[in-house]
Amino acid sequence: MSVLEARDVSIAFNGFYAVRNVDFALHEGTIHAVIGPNGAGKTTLFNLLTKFLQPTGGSVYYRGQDITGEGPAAIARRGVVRSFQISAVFQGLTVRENIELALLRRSNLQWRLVGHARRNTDLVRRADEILAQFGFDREADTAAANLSYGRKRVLELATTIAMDPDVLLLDEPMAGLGREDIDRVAELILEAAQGRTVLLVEHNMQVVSRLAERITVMVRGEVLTEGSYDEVSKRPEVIAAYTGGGH
Amino acid sequence: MTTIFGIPAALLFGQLLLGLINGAFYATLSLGLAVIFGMMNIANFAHGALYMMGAVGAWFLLDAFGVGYWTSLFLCPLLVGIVGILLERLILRRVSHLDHLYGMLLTFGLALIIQGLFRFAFGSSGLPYAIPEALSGGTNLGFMFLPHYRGWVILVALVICFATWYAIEKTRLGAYLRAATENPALVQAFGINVPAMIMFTYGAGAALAAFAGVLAAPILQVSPTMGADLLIVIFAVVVIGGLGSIKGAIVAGFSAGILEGLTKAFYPEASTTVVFVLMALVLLIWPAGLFGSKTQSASTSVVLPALANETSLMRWALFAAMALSLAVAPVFVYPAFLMKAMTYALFACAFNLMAGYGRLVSFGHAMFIGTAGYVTAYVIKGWGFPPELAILAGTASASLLGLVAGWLSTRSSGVYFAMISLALAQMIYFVALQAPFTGGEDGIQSVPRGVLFGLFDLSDPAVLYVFVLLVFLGGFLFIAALVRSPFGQILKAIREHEPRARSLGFSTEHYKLAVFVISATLSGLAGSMKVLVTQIASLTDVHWLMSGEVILMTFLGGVGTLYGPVVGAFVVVAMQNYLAALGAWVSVIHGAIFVVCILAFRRGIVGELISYVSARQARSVAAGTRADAPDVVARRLKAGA
Amino acid sequence: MKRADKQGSGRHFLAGLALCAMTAGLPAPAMAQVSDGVVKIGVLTDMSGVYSDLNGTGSVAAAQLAIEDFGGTVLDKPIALISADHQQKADVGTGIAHRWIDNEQVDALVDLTNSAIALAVQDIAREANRIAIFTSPGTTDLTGAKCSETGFHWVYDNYSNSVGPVKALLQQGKKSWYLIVADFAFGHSLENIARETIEANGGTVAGAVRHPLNAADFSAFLLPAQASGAEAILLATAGRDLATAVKQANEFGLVAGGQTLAAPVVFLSDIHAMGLQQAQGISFIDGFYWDRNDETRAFAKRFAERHNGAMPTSVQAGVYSSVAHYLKAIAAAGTDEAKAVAAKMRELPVDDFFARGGKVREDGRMVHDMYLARVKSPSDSSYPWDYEEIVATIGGDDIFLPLSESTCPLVRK
Repeated sequence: MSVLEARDVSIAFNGFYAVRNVDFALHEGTIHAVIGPNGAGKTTLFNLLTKFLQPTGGSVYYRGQDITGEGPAAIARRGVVRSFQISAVFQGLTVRENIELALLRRSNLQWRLVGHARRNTDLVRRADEILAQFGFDREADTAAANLSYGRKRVLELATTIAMDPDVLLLDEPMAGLGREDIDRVAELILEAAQGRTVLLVEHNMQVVSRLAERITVMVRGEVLTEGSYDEVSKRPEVIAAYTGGGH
Repeated sequence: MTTIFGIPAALLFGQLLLGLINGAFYATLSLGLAVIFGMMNIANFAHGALYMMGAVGAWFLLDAFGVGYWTSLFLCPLLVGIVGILLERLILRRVSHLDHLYGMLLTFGLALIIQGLFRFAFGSSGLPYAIPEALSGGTNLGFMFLPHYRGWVILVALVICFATWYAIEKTRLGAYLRAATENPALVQAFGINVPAMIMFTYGAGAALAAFAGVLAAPILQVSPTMGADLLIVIFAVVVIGGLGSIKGAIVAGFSAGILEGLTKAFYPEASTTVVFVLMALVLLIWPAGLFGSKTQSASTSVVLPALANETSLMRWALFAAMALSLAVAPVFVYPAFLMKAMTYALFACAFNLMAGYGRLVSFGHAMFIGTAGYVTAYVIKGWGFPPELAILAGTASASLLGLVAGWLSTRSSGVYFAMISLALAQMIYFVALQAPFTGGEDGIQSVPRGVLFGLFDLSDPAVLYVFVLLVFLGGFLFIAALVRSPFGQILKAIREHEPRARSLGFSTEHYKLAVFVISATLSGLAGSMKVLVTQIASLTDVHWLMSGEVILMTFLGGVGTLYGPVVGAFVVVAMQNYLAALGAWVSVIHGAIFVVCILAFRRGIVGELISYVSARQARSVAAGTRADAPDVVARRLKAGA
Repeated sequence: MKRADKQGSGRHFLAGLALCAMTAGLPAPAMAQVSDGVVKIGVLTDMSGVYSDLNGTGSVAAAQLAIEDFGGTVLDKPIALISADHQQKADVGTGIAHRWIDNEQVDALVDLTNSAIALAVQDIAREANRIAIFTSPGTTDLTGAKCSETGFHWVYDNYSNSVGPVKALLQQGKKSWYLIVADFAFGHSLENIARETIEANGGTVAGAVRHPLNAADFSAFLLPAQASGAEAILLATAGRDLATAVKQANEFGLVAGGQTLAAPVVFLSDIHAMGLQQAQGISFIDGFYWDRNDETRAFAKRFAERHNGAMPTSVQAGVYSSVAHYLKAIAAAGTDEAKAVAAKMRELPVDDFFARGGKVREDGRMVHDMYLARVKSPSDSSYPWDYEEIVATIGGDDIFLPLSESTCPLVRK
């Protein structure tokens, strides 16, 4: 059963099609990667699926329901949570506060005007769990701005997981990370994928081959082909797209 | 005589032609502003002052050196352009790396200084400047008499508009300018001196403003304040056209002139307000203006100054200190001043909630304090309400206004948000001026203080003081609690990274609206209290200068801190009252404080204090842990964190 | 016992008598005393805004001159002068007024530009029992519904200034009028007075238009005036708006086309700002003109020395006159207690270079001769500040609102 689906989706900016007539389906329980050369429209598709962009044509579905008209916050509340290409953490808040924020809606605290969030023991307990799971025990009270880039990436992942999402959408999670960090984050993603569906946009082929069960290749705003890593990596048109041979 | 909707056709055509001419003038004046915004992303509040310098310069050149109009047309823009270059190089450049809001505020301060100095040198009444001989007289067009000078204005304006548009859109220099706007670093890498380009652009914008000033001198009254009221109209025009769009400024300028002309034919009293109505309508449909494409990018996240290791004890101690000193102060300081300062402090705190924590800097906050004031004054005097109900009514009216205004304005952000809030405030000003119940120019006077809950006689100064103090402390506590609440944390998150907040499931537009309404409500409370203290509700409270003052108070004290606005309010009210003997220097001093604040004490008094203390704390912590450093590193490596 | 009783009661009686004498005597020395040992005059004015040339620092200089000419002391106590700029803000103005009364022992508040501030101060002064002298605001409410025992309106008001030029021009045969009115209370009141006067004296109102304050361009309001063909155009507006209107009326050829301009609120400072080229020919009412006779010229010369060479406006001269009269009244009353001084101010005639044969009425209105003036053309002007041609003198009783029509509660009908 497809969890997230795009049917004949397009988006045009002043006549230029960033994404054109794309059919895409994300199946429950899979780890799916979208790859392609720069300018292929991967992140745009991503934004369309998470409703940060409105399509100019076609529709988007979540578990069979038409969500084309909804906004990103509504999608997130349905359980579809994304991360960002450039690490998105709340710099001025501490690590703990970042995680607490993600947990607020679970504890129904998001409209509380007075009183501190930490009065809710359920929230505190869950926050502690996540801090431990991702190894933030010592850094819990550091401002996110003071973390290294690698740790910021992990924090972003942690807050995404804290939402206990149905579907995890990760936009180039390895971008800007060094070797050690990549391995660690890959492990965390595999862990997080248990019982969830994951969609990745990624450039790093090693990571893609390690994590992804299914791969979609995009070129110039359209879907080129789909399949497993082994299938896809051998197709001549895919190789051509990456090496630039044949337009 | 044919009539159209009751107006003679000849008259209507005459008004339209006049409107067109005014539109040409608006377009010329807006060009400079659009160019500066396009290039530097700064809303140049000094534009009105530069325009004024052109006009007064023309007068001065004639009066002191006998230099005539034709020479002034070249000389004044040149001289003012040089002033503009100096301003950019010496002052504006220092904040170019910061949030563009600071640039805007800095130009606001500069405008106050320039205007104040000119007022001091040349008086406020006006300076005579005649139409040059060659352009005097006029022709009878049949439906109206058209002075030759007006015809000249429209011709010159069209030429300048076209020339500027051509230079920016069609020449290589223009292309570099446009590229540098998009990506200054990249263009600099190509070997083009971007800082110099910026400097000359600002100079060119200033020159355009001065040119419009010289154009205006023969027909409008030349005086140091001539730019002030015109400025907000020009801002509206540029916003309608789309900030940064040359084409937009020209189209919007002409349209505004024609629309004003039409309004003057049918409902002249509204002619100075109609531009703002147009702006609000345009922004509703095209949030970036007619031709605007500049999206207000989330700028460098300003980390709110905060003390590390802040404990609950410290917070309560600080609050107790403030409460205690305010309780004891009336013994040493004139109580009426303290009460007035406290109501302004509440207003500033409410503004800070939105501007500091919510990142929504409104330029129209006066509409809340003023509306609540009028409502409170009216229900007491006209309907005999007791004070508690009057305060409730006033606060509720501000709340309601906040809901409407908030819904309209929170769809925009950055400068657009500021401008649409200004437009709404101007409309409220117009209503206040026209509505019979507000008493117009006189305001509502001698508002009796009444008896609170039937028990406490507020005419007793001691009772009133306690009441004001309690309300202020209550409002302050509420804001302090709000900031630390989950709602406050979400606000902080939204201001830092709105897309991330949305991706976590928070409907950010609802939160922004909520903080807007809360801010409006508390401002309304401040307004109601102010009326009880000063016993007068007047147009001053809804004027855009009041909006400017609350911005000054908040930034002076420290935007984004809890106590900053309080300190800022007390300082500004003290200046207002105790420096009143200085007369014309007050606005110069205000402006100078603004400028110094933005340049050197950006975090405001309290903010700088916090930073200083934090830095000392950090140093002592670092000194203490330097010895342990290797252990820490080792431990971290082992944990693999 | 009897004798002792008699002595005792006698002593009691004497003591009581002495006590009576003492208590009776107490007010007497108090009446010859000045509160707080000083007579303090506060000039609250607009020093930085659009009306600052009309009053502002000039008013302060005028008050200073009056104090010096009086000798610097009254009832053997010093006279002090303080001043402040209310920045045209109602709450700043009222705040200063309160502070002056509460903390600074100010006995009289003078000038008080801006109707909103003036009306508020009238109430404040009434409650606190201080003298308030209004020289620059124009609202007739000050001697009407809001009159006060201790409030005085010295120079002009909206009535005197509207009626004068209108009546004079009607007499000259200008029967049809067009009104350009500033769209707020001041303007509306001028409009109403003008309409009544025109219609009561055989004229017609061809049309009227209301302009918003601080309109930079008046061409749109002058257009219908021109189209109406009215013989006279009344510019019921002031300050910069007036100057713009006049300038553009010339630009559009209204004056050249034969229409006469009349303006209720024109001061010397306005003419100076407009320049004779633009302002020539305007008919208006002035309460005082510096060049009228030797006395006025003498005062003007001394004033100009203190005030950057600028000649005094009627408001500034009015400040001198009213302050001098106030001090005289204190001397005559033997005290600076407001009600007693106010009574003396009404009792004593005002006879100085500003107003010969002037008197203060029950409603606080100082009634004096006013002058119908016309702005000279540049060719008729021979020296600096030679701006006005006095066409006629109008007696005070003819130009101010008659007492019989006053809405002041103090006036016994």
